[in-house]
Amino acid sequence: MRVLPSWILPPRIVPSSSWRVRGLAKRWPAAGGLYPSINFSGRSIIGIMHQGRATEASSSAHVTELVSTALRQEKLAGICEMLRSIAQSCDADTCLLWRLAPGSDLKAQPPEGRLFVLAQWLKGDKLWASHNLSLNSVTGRGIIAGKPQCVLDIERDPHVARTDTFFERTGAKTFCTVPITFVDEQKGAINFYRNTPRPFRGQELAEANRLAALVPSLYQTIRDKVSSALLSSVSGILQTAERTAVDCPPPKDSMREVVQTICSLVGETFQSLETSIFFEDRVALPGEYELVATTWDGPFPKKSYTKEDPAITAWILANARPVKLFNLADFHDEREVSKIRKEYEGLTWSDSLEFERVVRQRFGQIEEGWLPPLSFVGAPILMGNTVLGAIRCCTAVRPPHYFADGELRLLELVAAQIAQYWSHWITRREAEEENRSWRTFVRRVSEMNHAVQKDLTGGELNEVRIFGEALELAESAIRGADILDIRLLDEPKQELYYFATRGAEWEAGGPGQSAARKAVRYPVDYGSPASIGAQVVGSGRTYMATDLTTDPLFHGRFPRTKRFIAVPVRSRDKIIGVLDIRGTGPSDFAKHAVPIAELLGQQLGLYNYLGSTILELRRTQKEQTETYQDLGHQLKSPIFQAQARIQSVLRSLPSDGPMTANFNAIRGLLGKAKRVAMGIRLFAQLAGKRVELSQSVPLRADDLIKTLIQYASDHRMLLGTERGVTFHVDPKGFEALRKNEVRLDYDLLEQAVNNVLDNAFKYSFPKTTVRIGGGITSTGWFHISVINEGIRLRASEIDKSKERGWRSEDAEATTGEGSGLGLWIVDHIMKAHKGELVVVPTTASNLTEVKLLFPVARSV
Amino acid sequence: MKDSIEILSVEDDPLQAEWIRQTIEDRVAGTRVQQISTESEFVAKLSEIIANPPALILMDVMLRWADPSPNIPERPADVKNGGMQRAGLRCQVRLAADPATYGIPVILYTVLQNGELNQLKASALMPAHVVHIQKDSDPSDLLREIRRLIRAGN
Repeated sequence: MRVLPSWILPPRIVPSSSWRVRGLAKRWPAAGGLYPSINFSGRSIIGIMHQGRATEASSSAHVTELVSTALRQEKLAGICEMLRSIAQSCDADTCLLWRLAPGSDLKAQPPEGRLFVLAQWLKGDKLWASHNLSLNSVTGRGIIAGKPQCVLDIERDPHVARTDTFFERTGAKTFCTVPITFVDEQKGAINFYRNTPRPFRGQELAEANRLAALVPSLYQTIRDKVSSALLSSVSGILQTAERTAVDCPPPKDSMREVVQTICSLVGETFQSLETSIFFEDRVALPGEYELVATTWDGPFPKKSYTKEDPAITAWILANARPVKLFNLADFHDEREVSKIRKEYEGLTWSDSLEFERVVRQRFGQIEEGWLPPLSFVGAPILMGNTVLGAIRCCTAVRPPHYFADGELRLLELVAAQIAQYWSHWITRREAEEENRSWRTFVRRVSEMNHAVQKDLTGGELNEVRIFGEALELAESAIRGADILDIRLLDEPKQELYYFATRGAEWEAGGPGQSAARKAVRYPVDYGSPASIGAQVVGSGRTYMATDLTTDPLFHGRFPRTKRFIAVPVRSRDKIIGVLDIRGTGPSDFAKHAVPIAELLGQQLGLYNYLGSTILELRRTQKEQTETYQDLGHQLKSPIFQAQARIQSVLRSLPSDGPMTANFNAIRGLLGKAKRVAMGIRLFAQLAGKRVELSQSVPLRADDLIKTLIQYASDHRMLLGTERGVTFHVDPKGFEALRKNEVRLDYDLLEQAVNNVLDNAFKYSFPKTTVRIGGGITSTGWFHISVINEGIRLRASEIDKSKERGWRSEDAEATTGEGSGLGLWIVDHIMKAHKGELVVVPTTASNLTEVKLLFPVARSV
Repeated sequence: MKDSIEILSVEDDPLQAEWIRQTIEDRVAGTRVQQISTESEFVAKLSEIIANPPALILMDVMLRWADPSPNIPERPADVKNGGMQRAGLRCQVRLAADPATYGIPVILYTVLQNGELNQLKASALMPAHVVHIQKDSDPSDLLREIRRLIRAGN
């Protein structure tokens, strides 16, 4: 007797001889077989049972015992207990429950099929194998006839094999078989064996018949109970997992633990040698169905599947259909293979053969042909039409050593339960992924905005870099986006051309290929059939295709492309191009891919608009600046000449007299005109943000004093002598210039000093004096100081006074026209000299001091 | 009967004011030009003007409110809101508001061009006899108009 290792079999079950349903003759060992076939012949039937009548009391007790025993059972193995109850009621020493194997055909001529032991009970501690039986046996004939059969004396019956070790081991002398019909209409039988030569007769037979009639529904009850217990346990495990989950979504490892628990539970219920669950993690590994849980501790030929793999599990995933196979070893039998393929079109089983090899190794001590059937049942884990994964069981290690339809249905129910759990988890993962995508998008857009802002400050948008970064952004924010490009519209030619590209396929042909593709131009033909780009440009709407093989718009330029999003790049109300995002991987784009792509398209359009607007603005500004500068020059030149001539006329005139006064006024007015002309030039320069020095000459004390007196005199004259504002230039401090070299642009100094003096005179009260002085400060700066008494600046207004266009309320009321540019220009002039404009208000009086601080180049 | 034809010049630029005075007095016989240099001074002297209306008023449009001084008169709300750009127009409206001065011929003598002035005038009540002459280095137009208005007044 060959005994399987204890790990593989449940208690009380020992493997039997041949497990083949068909082809038994060639596999059955001629001499050593435990169960030779019994020829199907009426002569072997020694007697036919007739319905006896048990006493009502004993029969009622037997039924009660049977039913209560059956209802106590929690596991499929409990069916054996049910048989014990029946056997004891009928005073039998052994009782076997047979069931016709799947695929049997009793209507065929001759009838085809095998019988498998579904459950057994043997008196004492005897063990016996589960095994199969041909339809030629007494049991088979009873099933075919639909009537109980009796073998009164096994030893003398010519049709019972003498070499059958079953009878030897059990010591059975007589037996009877009662055919039954299971709830699923499958046929079967219950056999009662006695070890004494007392045949089953009369009331005993009737009692056996009566009790056997209850077995199908009780068997179904136990199965239902087991199924219900399994579903309830799975449900409890999943609910507990949901309830106790701390993280959202829970980490993958804790998901694996939950699924592993369920997997073990299914394995235990089904008593399968291997139970495994595969799932697709659409976020981490789209298209790959990886092994998440298993009860198999041996080597795994394949730990993950794609739908395209040549494997039974892959077929389940691809077809979203369950598979139930009686024996994986049938794959060696061409006749069986054709039958299997008829039912499961396109099924391949390279992994099954591998599994069979591994199982055979486990059953290593059992000879070829003695193995149990390597039964298989697997179901897809579905959520709607989406295949989330698969659950499979291989090789039942308990009678009847195959998986029945009921088990397949149960497996499908379990799969449905797990589907919901996994789906929730995937949904959460996807939500998390979506959040991540949006976070990435927002962060990268913010970075791009920053870069664009920097570019625009510099005056020109680097679109090649920005658009390249945009493609990088799309790639990182949209899972599965692996070929990306931006095509821009050449409006006059009505052509789309590649402006930026990214992705493996672009680089596949090397830089030359990439460049060549970039050079390709597609005419925008709005007629039919339109290309994808043309359609997007024409309609202004997003295009999305999830299956390009059937899409008429796709011309197959990218053969690996499986899905495609194309969004318009819109600059204001004009479409300037198309952003293409293609996917080549197995899984679809996430649902947020389109809104991200659309927003990116809008963003790119905005950048383009800003770039062109700023460019235009700068061009206009440049023109304006140049025009201002030109006008300033044009104005300044004749004024210079007029001033020079006036100076020479004044030198020839006496120092007083009406003519001299008039010429002095003209000189003053020309001075003012010159300042305005210079102001225009500086204003234009300041559009470029800074004043530039056109010369750097040493400042001489004499020149400065003379100039200051002349300027002050002009301002006094322009203000009108009626106001009685006088001025005083203190030359002492300027002597410092003889020992300290100060270099500056004299034209700019003139402008700065005049602007300061202009303010000083304009805001002075009548009959006050503007005091002008200067020298070296305690910190080593050279300064020119102008102090006046009049409307003064408040402390809070000092910073504002240097702003462009700012005028105090008092200024407008008392000085009339003015641009508010005076101190703003002076401030810039001083900065150009690396000096400083300092305004010092005094609170005690109405004095305001303005200082122009210049750095000393060197002391001599 | 006055000895001379009184002309009032409202001009805040002292150089221009002096040039205008000299030019008119030299080239329009019998005229004497009185001068007002700020809007606040005009407001202050308005009752005096009403009492002794001049033959003609030469009005600059953009005028400062007052000269800097420790005691600047408070600006009325219309001056604050309207700004110095409309000062001359406000003065004209004040004249037009009194029957004694309503008919005084006024020449708006300003650097503003017609279009600019029309924008400013849009919200002001301008009598039909207010004429506009743009400031120019050649005073011929101004003198011609002054002579015409004086003749018309006589």
